[in-house]
Amino acid sequence: MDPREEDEEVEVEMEEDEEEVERGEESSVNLIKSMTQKLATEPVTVRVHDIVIKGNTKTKESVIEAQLRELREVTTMQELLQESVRANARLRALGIFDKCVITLDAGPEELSGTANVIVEVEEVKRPFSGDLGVFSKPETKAWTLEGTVKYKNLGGHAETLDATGCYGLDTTSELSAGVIYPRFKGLPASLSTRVTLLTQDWQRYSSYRERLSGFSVGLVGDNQHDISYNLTWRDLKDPSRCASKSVRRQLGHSLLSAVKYTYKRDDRDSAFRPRRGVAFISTTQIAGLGPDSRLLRFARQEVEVRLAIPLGFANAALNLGVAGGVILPWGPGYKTKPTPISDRFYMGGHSSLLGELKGPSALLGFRTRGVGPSELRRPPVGPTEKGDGEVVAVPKKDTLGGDLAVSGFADFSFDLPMRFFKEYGIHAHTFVCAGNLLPLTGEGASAWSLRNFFSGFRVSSGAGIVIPTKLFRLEVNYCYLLRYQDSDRVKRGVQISLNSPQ
Amino acid sequence: MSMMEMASPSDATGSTSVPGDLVLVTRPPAFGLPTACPACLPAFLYLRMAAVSFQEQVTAVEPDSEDLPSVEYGENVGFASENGGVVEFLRREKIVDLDAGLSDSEKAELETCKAMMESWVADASAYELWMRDNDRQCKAVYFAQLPWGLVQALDWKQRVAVMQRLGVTPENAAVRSEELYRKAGNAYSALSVLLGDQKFFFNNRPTSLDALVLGHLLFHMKVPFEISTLKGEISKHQNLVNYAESWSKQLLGEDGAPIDAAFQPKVPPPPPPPARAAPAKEKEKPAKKPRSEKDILFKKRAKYFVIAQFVAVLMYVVFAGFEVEGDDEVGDDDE
Repeated sequence: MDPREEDEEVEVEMEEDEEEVERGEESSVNLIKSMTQKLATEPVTVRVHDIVIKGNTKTKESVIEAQLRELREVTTMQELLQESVRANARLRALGIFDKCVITLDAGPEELSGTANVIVEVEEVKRPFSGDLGVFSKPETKAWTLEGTVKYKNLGGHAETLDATGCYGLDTTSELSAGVIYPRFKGLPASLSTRVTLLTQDWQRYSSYRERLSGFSVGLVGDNQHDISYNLTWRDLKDPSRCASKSVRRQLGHSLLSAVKYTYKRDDRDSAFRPRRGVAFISTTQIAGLGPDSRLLRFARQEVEVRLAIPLGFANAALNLGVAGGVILPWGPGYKTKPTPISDRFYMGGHSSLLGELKGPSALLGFRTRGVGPSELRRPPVGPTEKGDGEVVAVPKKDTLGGDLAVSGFADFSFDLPMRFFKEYGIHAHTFVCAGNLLPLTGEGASAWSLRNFFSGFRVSSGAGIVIPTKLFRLEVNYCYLLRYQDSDRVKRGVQISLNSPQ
Repeated sequence: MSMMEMASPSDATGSTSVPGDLVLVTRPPAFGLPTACPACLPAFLYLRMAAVSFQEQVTAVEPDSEDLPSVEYGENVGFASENGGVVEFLRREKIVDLDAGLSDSEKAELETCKAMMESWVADASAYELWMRDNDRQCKAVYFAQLPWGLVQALDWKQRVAVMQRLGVTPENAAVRSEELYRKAGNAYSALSVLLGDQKFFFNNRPTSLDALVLGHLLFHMKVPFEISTLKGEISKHQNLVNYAESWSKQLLGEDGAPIDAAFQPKVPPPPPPPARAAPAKEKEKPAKKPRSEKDILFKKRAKYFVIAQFVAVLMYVVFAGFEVEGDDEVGDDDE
């Protein structure tokens, strides 16, 4: 079937993500009817002959073409329509066009069965944009104020230049600037380069403060793959001078030169309340790339699998998750060298079990960095000189993190039997989670066995209510600890956790 | 505290000490010195003179830390940057005090000389170490274990800081250095007179001043600086040179010679048991006791009140149809 026979101009306008099929001149209702019927019942073969781009003054044509590459490969009219919608969405997502209209026109007369695609764009008049917001970081239990200024399409490559400042009271401050090129050199990935200056305070948990100044460049794939290189100057300090011995041994300057590859797949039906599907993430990091043997050298791997199983009643679903991670030093002396404390694994805190996919970290019922190896801090100079027995203060500890971490959970979620709750997606859940971490290197790594590792698992269970909102997922849980160790920092009872998905 | 009363059979530093007893944290060794850091060397010599056995721990990645040298004694730590430094910490923890037993007038003299060492002499020493011509030696002292890139950045940063502290600018370098060296020369003369032909500065027994002076002398005599004005100044005083050389042999055991018997290390008294010895639960209780039932109830209620308020706000946000656009509104909705 030749669409040209109808001598028809199809314009697909997607201003409001809708398609409108219009007839250019005097149109008859019948023609449209037969046309739509044909499209609905059988494939209409068509080939794209030419793509015409109009309206771009600053933006390079190649940038727009890179977003339209799939259009060239279509074989049917139906595909062409679908791909046009997708391409339009992609072009809009670049954020450099105020308006973007894709018109499908008939190809040249001598070539039947072809179509021309006309892309009309209107570039934004104001390339600047700014954002200001307050964010919560569940892992550090801190709130931060963040501001971003963006300048888009400066060189016509649809690149985004941005400068971000982030400040958290006493905890974090970050300044960073970066450039992102979407669909770099025709790859299905965007190139992102970034310069960062970050100060992160871990004094509350591990008595150190780290200052990171670095540069990273990465290819962020459109869907599953993400690879990046990172060069960071790390400076660990202990301004309070109360760090434990193991933390003191970690202080000082170091240079990280690392490649990180992330493979992520998430086929679950919802990020907030998954009821069906599988999600998988694997992150591999190799540090120490470069001829200098004094660079930080370690390899880090983490894996997480999540599974959502529908149960068929009351919207109920069972979510299962297993995560594991390991970090090991390499190079001469790898047997005795401790791993960098900032790269180790930590567990506990307020993150939700069904939150972001990020390896073994969530364990409800424990405080932030509350699980695993710890060491006594340096006692304060004052009170030791006073009485012998009258030391009132509880000795504080530094969390050291683990080199090997495994955690898992089972979460059963179901609808509450009230219409009011159902309407807003508020549901209940009960859960069991378990996890353990242990050091493999450094001084803390005494002989360990797999049996010890598994018998040392911390287990907690609980139940709660989940309130999903547009921006975040809020959980109010009651936690009950089934197994823990004396050195853990536990948090029984009611816990509130706030999580943004992914 | 007399420290020459016994000589333990150990022949190497720390070989007999119980792990975790006494640890000296210094910058790494170089140029035949146990630690090539001008601040750490006196602390090392102090412990050697006190004949205390200790373990050495090297940290090579903190060129800009003021906490070094530090001494670890069980859970307790004495940092150089803290009140009185390492020597004061050793005295406070009753490990060793070389200056005990000096008469008041001797103490006064000791303090004066130490002040002179820590100001005039230390400034001249820092200038010589951080001057551009001695760049190679300076890097060996502070940056030997750091990766390329960090060395250059930290070296530059530190040099600027040191020169700023000393008040040296490119314009006044000649004048200022002359002044620094003159003061150091004066200090050497004074020390030379005070030492005379004695074995130590006071009473034929080591003091903290001996450690300080020896550390400085050995550092400038052993490190092969390109420009070593201070070495020239030191060599003007033969008794100081002899003093440094003889003690370097006896304390550091160079040229295959064993460490002098008088300075064979002995094990320090064990550190006090760490606070964790008592069960943690018992300790938590006294801290909590002062809170009366009422307080606890009040706190609990306050907590629930806050939670209730938060939930109320949230309910409002969810049910009152408050639509937060979130990521959707990246500024593209102007028609």
